[in-house]
Amino acid sequence: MQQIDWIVLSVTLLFIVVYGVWKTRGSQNVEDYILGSNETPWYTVGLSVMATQASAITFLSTPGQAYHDGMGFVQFYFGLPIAMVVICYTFIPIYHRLKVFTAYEYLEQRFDLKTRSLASILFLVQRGLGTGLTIYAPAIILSALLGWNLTLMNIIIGVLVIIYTFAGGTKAVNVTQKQQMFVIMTGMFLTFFLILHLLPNDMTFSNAMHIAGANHKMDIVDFSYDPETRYTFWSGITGGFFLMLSYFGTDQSQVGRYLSGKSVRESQMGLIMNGFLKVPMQFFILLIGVMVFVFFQFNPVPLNFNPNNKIAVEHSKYKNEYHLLENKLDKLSEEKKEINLLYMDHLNQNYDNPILRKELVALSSKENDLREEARELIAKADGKAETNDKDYVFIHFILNYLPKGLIGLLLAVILSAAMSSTASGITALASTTAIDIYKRNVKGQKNEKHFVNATKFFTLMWGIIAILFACVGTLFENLIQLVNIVGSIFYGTVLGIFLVGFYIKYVKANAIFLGAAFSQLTIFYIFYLDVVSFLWLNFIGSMLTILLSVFAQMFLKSKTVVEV
Amino acid sequence: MPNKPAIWKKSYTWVLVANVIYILLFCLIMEMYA
Repeated sequence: MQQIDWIVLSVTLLFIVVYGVWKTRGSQNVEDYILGSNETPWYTVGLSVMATQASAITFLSTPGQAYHDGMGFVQFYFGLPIAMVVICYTFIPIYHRLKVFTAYEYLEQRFDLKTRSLASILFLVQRGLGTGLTIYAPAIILSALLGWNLTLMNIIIGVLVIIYTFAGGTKAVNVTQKQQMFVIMTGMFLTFFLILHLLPNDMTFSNAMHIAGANHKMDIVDFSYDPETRYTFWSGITGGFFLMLSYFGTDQSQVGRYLSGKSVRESQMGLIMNGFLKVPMQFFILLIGVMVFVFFQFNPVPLNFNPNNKIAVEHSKYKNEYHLLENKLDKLSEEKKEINLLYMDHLNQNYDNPILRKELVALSSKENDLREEARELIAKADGKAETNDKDYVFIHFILNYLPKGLIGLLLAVILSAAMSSTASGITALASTTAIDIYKRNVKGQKNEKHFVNATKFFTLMWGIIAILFACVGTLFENLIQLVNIVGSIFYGTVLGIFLVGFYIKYVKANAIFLGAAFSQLTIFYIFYLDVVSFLWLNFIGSMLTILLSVFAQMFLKSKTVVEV
Repeated sequence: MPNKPAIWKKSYTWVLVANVIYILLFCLIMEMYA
């Protein structure tokens, strides 16, 4: 990091914070603070929704995912546009008509208080854990590569977010997310064109795509029915659809974004914008990862991108074995570079040489074997080490190959993404605590100012909890997996409650509560048995909640008839 | 003149059509490079 990088990074982040505070100064009531005065235009809603979903991990992990496994991950988002349409048709008009501050308020109007409390508590548990992670995940990666103090990083990211969310609430989150998305997209576009510029002189974009294709990185859509393959067209359309429906339709960190829209139509247009742009955006981020892969076909590549893993092996008895593997990889890289250059020459003469393609595949397979051996050595040297290095690929490229100034901008991209997701998380946690728990249970008549102060207090409280959770993140092994599992366990039930509320008028309060409670217990049991991937728990949970609540309603109705 | 909500409902269709086009484009890219 040079001085210019520090200047770019600090100025960008401080500008966003100061702009957020300045733009939202002045007196506020609860509607201003939680719903942003319902003044947000559709493009701000759209950008805000996209910025909330795109956390720092999106920009660190996704290119690394493409580097190792190719473009197939984009299929995970195929269900998103369908979910956007369903939410626009059903969820948004109902939320606006009932003038709710949070999604869970609707549940009391449709069912009863206990259902509302159940859903809001499930949300607070999972989002409370998730918001800590949005700070912790980039901090641990940047601290490993730059030697920055992890706790200090957690505190800096957290405090910057608290300053503007505390001061301006939802409006501050919306206006800063616009700047953050601008920084993010500018940084990513510049990086993309710079990678192309860093490729060998006579390498065209089409040649780069051919090289990626020869290494199986361009297998974008998979129509197979193999349940072993995680990302296929079918899993994206079904599993992805249910996941996106629950995330965008019932998670207050997203619902809060579009409830701040000027009107029903502005909220709907914001989500439709997300439906138009999300798949191409993810495709573009994955393509950056694929171009990084092509770049490393002509440049020295480490055996494992996580520097901590190398340090762990260096301090163990496996040091010499590891060095041996490194030497083998160096030789292999040289060989690969020569064949790639030859392949490129043939491509320039309009000849896609099948023999060279085969050789490239064979060399890639050898490289994967070397990496696997290295992972085994790392695991032997340090049993707790995370040997999967996909989160470190892109940041390794940024820090070692980008020019001065752009490194600072790319770090600002990563921290902006972390801040935008954290800000949405904290405001959603604060508004749910204030509206669904505090306001619903507080005794006596309180004025508007009291509830604004209470929401501000909860913003501060959840901000501090998120920082504390991020600071103790190292105590938990594989934190991301933990949070994803917790999310999948609870999301399905919450979505099921909302779907019954919207579409099955026949089911009443007691039946949905019984159905949701039994469904949640069954999900716990299925998780304990470990018979399906946790990604499917979401779908199973929502279906179970719907079916069990209908059965419960039939049972309760027949019981009432008998009693009469 | 068609009413605004009718025009608006059409954009739901357009978002789905756009995504079908994206998927077709992905298939084309695969055909060319994979």
